[in-house]
Amino acid sequence: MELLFIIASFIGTALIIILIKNRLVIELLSIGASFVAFISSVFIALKVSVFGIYTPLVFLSVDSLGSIIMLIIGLICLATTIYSVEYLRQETSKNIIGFTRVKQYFILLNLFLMSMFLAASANNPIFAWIFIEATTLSTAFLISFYNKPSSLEAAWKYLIINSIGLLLGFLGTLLYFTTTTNLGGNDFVSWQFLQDNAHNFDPMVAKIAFIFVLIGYGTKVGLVPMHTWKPDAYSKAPAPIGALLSGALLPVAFAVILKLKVITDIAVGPLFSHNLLIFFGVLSIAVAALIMFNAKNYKRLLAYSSIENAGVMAFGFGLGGLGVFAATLHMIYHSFVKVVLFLSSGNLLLRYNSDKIKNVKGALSVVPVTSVLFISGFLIVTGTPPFGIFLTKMQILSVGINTHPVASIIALFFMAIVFIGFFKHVTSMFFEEKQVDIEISDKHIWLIIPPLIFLVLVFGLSFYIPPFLYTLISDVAVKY
Amino acid sequence: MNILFLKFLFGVMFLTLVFLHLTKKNFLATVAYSIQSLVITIVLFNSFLETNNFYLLLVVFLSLVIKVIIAPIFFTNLIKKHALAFSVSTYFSTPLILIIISILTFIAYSDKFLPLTSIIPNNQALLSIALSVIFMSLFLIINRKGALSQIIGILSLENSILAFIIFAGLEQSPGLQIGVIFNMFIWIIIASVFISMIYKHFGTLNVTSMKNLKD
Amino acid sequence: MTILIWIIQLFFVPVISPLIIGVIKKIKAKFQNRQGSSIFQFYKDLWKLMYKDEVVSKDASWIFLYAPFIIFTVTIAVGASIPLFASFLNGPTSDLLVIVYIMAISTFFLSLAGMDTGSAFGGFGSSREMTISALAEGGLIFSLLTVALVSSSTNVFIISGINILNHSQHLLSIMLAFIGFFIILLAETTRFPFDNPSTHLELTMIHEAMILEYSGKRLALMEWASANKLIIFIALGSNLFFPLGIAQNISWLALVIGIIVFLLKILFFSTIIAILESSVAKFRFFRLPDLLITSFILNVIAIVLIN
Repeated sequence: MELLFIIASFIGTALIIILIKNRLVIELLSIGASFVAFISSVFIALKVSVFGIYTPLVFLSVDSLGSIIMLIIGLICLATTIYSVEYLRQETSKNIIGFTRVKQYFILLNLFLMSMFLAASANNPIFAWIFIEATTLSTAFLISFYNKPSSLEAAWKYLIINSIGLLLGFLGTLLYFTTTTNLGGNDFVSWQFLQDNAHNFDPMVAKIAFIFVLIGYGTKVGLVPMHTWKPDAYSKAPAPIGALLSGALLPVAFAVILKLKVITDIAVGPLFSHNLLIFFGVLSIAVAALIMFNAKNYKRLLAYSSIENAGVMAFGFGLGGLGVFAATLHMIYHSFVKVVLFLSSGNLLLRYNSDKIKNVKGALSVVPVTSVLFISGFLIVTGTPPFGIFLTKMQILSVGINTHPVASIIALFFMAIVFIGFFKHVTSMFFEEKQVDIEISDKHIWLIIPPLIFLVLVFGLSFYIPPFLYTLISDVAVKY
Repeated sequence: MNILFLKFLFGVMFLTLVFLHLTKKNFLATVAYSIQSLVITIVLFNSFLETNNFYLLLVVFLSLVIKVIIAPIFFTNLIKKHALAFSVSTYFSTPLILIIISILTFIAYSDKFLPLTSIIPNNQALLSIALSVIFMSLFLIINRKGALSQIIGILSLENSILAFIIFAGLEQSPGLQIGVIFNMFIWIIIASVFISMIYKHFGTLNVTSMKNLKD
Repeated sequence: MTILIWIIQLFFVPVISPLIIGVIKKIKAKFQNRQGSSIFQFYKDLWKLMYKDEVVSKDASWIFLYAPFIIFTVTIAVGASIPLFASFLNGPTSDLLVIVYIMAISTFFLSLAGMDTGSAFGGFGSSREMTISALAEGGLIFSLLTVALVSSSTNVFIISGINILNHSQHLLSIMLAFIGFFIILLAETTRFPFDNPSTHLELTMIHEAMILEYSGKRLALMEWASANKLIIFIALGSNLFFPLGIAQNISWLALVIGIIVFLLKILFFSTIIAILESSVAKFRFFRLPDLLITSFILNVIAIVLIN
């Protein structure tokens, strides 16, 4: 029921926006749709934590992992929509974009959010794939939003790399369907159906299929070596879109990998997928740590941090058991912190008109609240105690030390390097003397409130996890 | 239609892909792509005749209209409008391209992929050809510097995956057909918009001119 | 009866080859909206050249004097050893490798003759010819090897006796090998896009440059030999890859059908060559190795696909 509300509200909003010319109405409608989505996702999460699974229609089904992701997406979409309203107003007042662009932005935003919700709740791997492909379509135009050559280049790279990845993922997903050919073939194939038939799966085909799936959807997640689109896309997209891409799209893509991993584990045994995930995870952490040193653009820095965190999550999921619990918690924390970071970087961009690190100096005295938000976000995301991500990283590493000591030590080493690299850039941005010609102001309240709320949320979640969330996460740890 | 005719069609598909690698004119690349789409449509139609699944007929019809007729016409108009006669060069030289093509074909036929290609043992040769065409399409995307060639590469990757699916016997599930139709539509829309935008901003379709974002 | 067939086999290639040259020229002329010369014009040209005087440079050696005879004999010999309209004959020179290397003798002597008089045009014609021949040989051997592997024999008559198309599991290999062979056919018989056989610009010549110094009956023999080579390659291409309609047993009906089918095949190939010549421009020399390597790789892939 609630799911249908979500979908209907987004589609309705998108369609109505096409016809409307009044800016205020567009903005209010979008915020309204996001609000409906948020409330519905909370309800769904509560229902799933009680009943275990929630299936309104045969092609839409939400289990515990899906409900966690929908909760994340619901919260983030509300915050980013409110933030985008104010952000776009600021940009319009600076004459960077005009009204048609704003209209296109909101239409595409609603379509993007709708496809993410649908992808998280699709019951069939092919539908999940279709909706993730739909997100590629809508975000491609959002990335090239400012119509400059560099954003066009970023959008092109994004499009080509993601399409290749998704096509390979498609091939991999289809190989999973070979188990169903001798069983009719016209029924609706759900995840559960595939899982039940997984013992029919030829192990060699399962291995090759999982490799294709990991490479394909790993492109969307941003695992190395398929990560090259991330820095460009995140730096050229508007700040709220970056937050959505990093905070919401990454978990959705990961969820598909995990669901297929379950099927592969039944066919081949858990060791194969675990080794692959650990390998890609540690590789991502290492490469991200090394490139972070040379980052020249603070949004690209956030993209590298996103790659590193995707690696940590892959590592956690690859360890199994307690590692999965920690990785899911890490996913929640990371999404929320990325929202804080991206939205405050959007504020910095508005104030300094440049996204290069060397052009931003002494921000602590120019935009004090934003700077505090950014610095706290940085501390949280790199795993400083006593916040949440520190605990999850430690938990993952402690599980890893038992089974894969070498990989865990390498991961620990590179996590430390990430901290150093990020810290170096943060000090150069915030703690030096400010330039003389920038006015001190931080006056737009709606630009500050969304990230502030999320910061408080992350603080709170670090110390207290609400019981329904706890049941959901434990359920995920058991099943996956 | 017997297996001989299907093999012939697959041979044509393989040759169009080799031709796509070697050609230097955009128009010929477009023609090669439309021949490839025609082959896939005929193979799909053959599969419809065998299974009488109505959705397949729909897919056949749509793919015939979109892939074989509309898309090449659209690309040709684009070529004429911006006078993009020659495809920009490639990263590897021609003899090296040919050697890499042969290596990829050997790999596809080798034992490593034997479990993949023996999903249906009768069709093993066809599945191996489809797999080698998938690898060659990937190589085409990596190798070429022109935006139009990269798009044609992605479209031919889609064609070859479709060919693989058909011969692995999976073409019947409706979700799959929806996925294929969706992919077709999406890609044509995206390709059209982006090519025009790239040409407008960069003045050329050479993707190496897009180097503003090197870190 | 067999003697009659052998006589026909021996004389078939030299008698029919000028006709084919005429047909190709006529089709090209029609494409260019001209009437073109009659299809028997080449016979009249050969007759004219036979009774003209010869002028021989005083720096020429015995190679210059004897090369046309050697080359012409080679083409007659090879023409008699390949299946034209009958696949039940057999001879000592009917092996694949023997045929290819006897043809190599003719290329060898042709190149030497080009350089023999010391003229610059002959020299560069010979060097270009050597480049192309060296690269084409790989493609030629491998494409013929493909059909040999499929029919498990290297005797050309036996290969044409087995209907290749019955081996349906090797269809892709045969297709690839045929395309590779066709490219080599264009290369070895100096057709487009490798060489323009009717050019009068010396700098663009390959084959013509080597026979530039010849006159009179030696020139007639050289030109005739080149026409024979075209027929030989067409015969190899059509009868090894698509041996439909070839006479399998000794009977008048089969032989007549065989001859008619062979003439039709030659006509088909010459139409294709003429269309190609009318639509494609001759490639510049540095692009030719790429084309030849393409043919080579296609053949290699074809061989691998046999398994």
